[in-house]
Amino acid sequence: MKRYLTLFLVLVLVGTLFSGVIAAQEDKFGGNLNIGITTDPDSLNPFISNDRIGSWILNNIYPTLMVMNENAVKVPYIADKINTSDDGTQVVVKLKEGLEWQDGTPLTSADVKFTGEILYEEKLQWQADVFDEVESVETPDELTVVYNLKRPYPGFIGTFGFWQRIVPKHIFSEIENIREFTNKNPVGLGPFQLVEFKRGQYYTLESVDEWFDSPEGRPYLNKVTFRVYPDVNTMVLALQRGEIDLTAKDIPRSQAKQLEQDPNFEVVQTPSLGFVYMGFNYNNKFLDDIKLRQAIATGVDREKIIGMALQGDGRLIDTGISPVYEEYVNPEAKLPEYSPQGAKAILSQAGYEDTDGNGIVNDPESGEDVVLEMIYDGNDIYLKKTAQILAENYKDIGLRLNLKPLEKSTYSDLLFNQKKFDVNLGGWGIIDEASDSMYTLYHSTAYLNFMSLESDRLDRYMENARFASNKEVMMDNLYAFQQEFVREMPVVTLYVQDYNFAYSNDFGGFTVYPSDLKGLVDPQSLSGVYKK
Amino acid sequence: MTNYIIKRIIRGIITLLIAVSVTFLILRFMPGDPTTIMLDPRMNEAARARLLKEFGLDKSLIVQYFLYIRQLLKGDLGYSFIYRTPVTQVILSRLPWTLLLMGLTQVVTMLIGIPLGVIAGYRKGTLLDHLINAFTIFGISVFIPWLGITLLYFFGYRIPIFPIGGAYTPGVEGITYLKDVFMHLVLPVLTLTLIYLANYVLYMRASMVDVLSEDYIRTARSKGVTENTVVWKHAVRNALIPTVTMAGLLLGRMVSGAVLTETIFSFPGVGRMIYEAVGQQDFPVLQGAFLILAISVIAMNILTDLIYAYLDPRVQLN
Repeated sequence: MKRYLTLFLVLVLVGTLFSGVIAAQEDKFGGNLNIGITTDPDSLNPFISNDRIGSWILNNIYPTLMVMNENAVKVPYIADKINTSDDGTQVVVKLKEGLEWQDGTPLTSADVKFTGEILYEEKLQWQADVFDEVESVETPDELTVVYNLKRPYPGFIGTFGFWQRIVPKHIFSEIENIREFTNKNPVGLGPFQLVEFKRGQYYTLESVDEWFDSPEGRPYLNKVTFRVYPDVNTMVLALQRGEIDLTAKDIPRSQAKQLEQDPNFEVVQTPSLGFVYMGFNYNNKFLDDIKLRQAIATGVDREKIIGMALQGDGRLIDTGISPVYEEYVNPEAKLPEYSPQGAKAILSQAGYEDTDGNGIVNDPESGEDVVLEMIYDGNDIYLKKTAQILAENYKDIGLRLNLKPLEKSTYSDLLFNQKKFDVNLGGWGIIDEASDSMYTLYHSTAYLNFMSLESDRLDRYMENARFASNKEVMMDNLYAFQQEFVREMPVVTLYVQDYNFAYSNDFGGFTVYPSDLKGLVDPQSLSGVYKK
Repeated sequence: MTNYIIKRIIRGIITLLIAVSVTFLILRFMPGDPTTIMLDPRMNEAARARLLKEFGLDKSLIVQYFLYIRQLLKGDLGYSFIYRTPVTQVILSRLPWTLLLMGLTQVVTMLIGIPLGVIAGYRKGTLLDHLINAFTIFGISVFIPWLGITLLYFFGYRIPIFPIGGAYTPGVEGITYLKDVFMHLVLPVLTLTLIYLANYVLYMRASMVDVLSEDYIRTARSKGVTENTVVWKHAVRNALIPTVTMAGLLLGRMVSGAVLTETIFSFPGVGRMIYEAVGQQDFPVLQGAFLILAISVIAMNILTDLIYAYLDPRVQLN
């Protein structure tokens, strides 16, 4: 009898445990996630939206052919395979089978072709430019799109595939004026669909029944609500209070530190996909001297900038290409080691001496004091602190750097439109497709080359990389570019910032993707998030 | 009376035209243009030019100005650069929230401020008067974001009574919705009340002091009227006149408070819309917001003048 009782008890115990396990597994489904954002998306039109908030929301509703994985490598997403021909002039995109728009219409190659056509015809976004290199587009079957390029152009599919949200042709072909289309009831194709929004307040998304990228075939969450908190301090309070469970916007170090100590929250870091740099205007009477630029680069204490201005939330970048894109970085190409003595030596060898004894070296030709002025966005606290360290660095090697913090639009105006500055301190938000972006930034004809850099060698390497027929050619030229770049020194790359994001421990399953554009709210992350 | 009203309205329209022109010019003289903020730097020059053209920013300043005035006369406030929707729509969706916040603040501020002012004026020079003065001066000097964050930290997070942000919790309905909206209003209204209290208290105090030394108060007292009646019936009623004027004029000042308060409390009103539009250089939205603001200030001025004339028989209309 006793034995039976024991057996019974054991069975009950096992049963309870087992049902507990089952319950825990089932519990993964359900739950509503609230996410803090700083302002409204500029538009819900997937063609028009061009800001981070728009991406956070819209990329969960509209798909892209490619996404970036955790290591910043672009991989197919709704595309099953993407192949480039050996000569680099044909790109074949094969879509995943069985995907449907949220109104039940199947996704076809016609949608992808249409998206590219409208993008290019209407010049809706900067990425429309890559279609300049497209000769023709074919759709041999329902799931295949073939892009015939005028010449090899490795940046084409990474740019179009990663940046352009695909739209349903059957809806967008009916829209008369795409630019003014506000898209209040989006029919998308993603892990979530928009069900309600109130501008200035919130955007509520509901999960779909089937999603290929979710661990169990559909998102665990029922609802995702993006709530607007314009002030980052308030947003962190809302997180602590439990009004939101996660911040889409990155939070400053001081607050990250506080949340790290709180057992209810998890703080994760992810690198920016851009970088911060100090740029030299070649039209400045001093700065066209390569020796001066090299001396300044040698005198810049980048470790100190990362340690003090960023409080450790950053990493070094040596060439024009961020270490985040590891495979493209030439390990031989390095900025000079920090050495004020070395910098002074370069200056005196080049004839810069303090002839009038006022503590500032004089230009060997004109005899003038080498005094430079640096412009930057004065509202950016990281740049503000970085600027102060740079001014000290200049002083230590006998130069003078006057700081000129500006309001952001004034800064942009001086830089882009007037090109009136000596030195600028600025950053690029996202630089992807190394082969293409170096060209957009540093080619002598590039709009963003406000330094007025003109180097035949650099131009050649950038052109060759940009239109390389295969990866080997591209890599050779990118390597050569980087080697020459750190010698020519049109800009001194300073750091790649690490962003902090925080989420509540009530939820699990997050994956952090590079940059503040993706972070924890990338669709690949949200489609696997569950309430504990 | 009719003549007076017509004259005031004509003057109002002229003021409005000046306000509209100044707003237009100030925005255009801001450095840079909206494309430097909104356009992706990677966009090429042709695309940039196309967008400028679309916004009408490629034309000369004079042409832009007259086009804008013509548009206004048709009752059209234009299209938001950022949201690509009519400005009227953008503003109308935000306006009710601001009216609610402002209205409630006005009422609360008056209900607290006027009695405090009366007491301070009546007890001039006493400790109570000094305390009231110190308190209100503190309120007027404090930096709104600091006050807002402090209140949020204590009453939203430390002692979690009130919500942190927004106008209501997404998804609530019915009677809970009303309660939710109320709870979301408490801290912003409290912040604005603390800031604006001084205006009422100090005005009311000053005019109480003046009024209490008037002959008719002495007459009332010597007639044997009770002290309570003297203060609340004879003195307060007369002392209220300048305060009413101030209430009207305060409206313009309150908007600046709304910009900061609504931003800190994530409140979806016009103030926060202005804050966001400045950052994005969304000219049409800013022009629309300032136009509405100018209209309401001018209307309030006319209204105050009329009320003033009605309250104070010494004001001659013609």
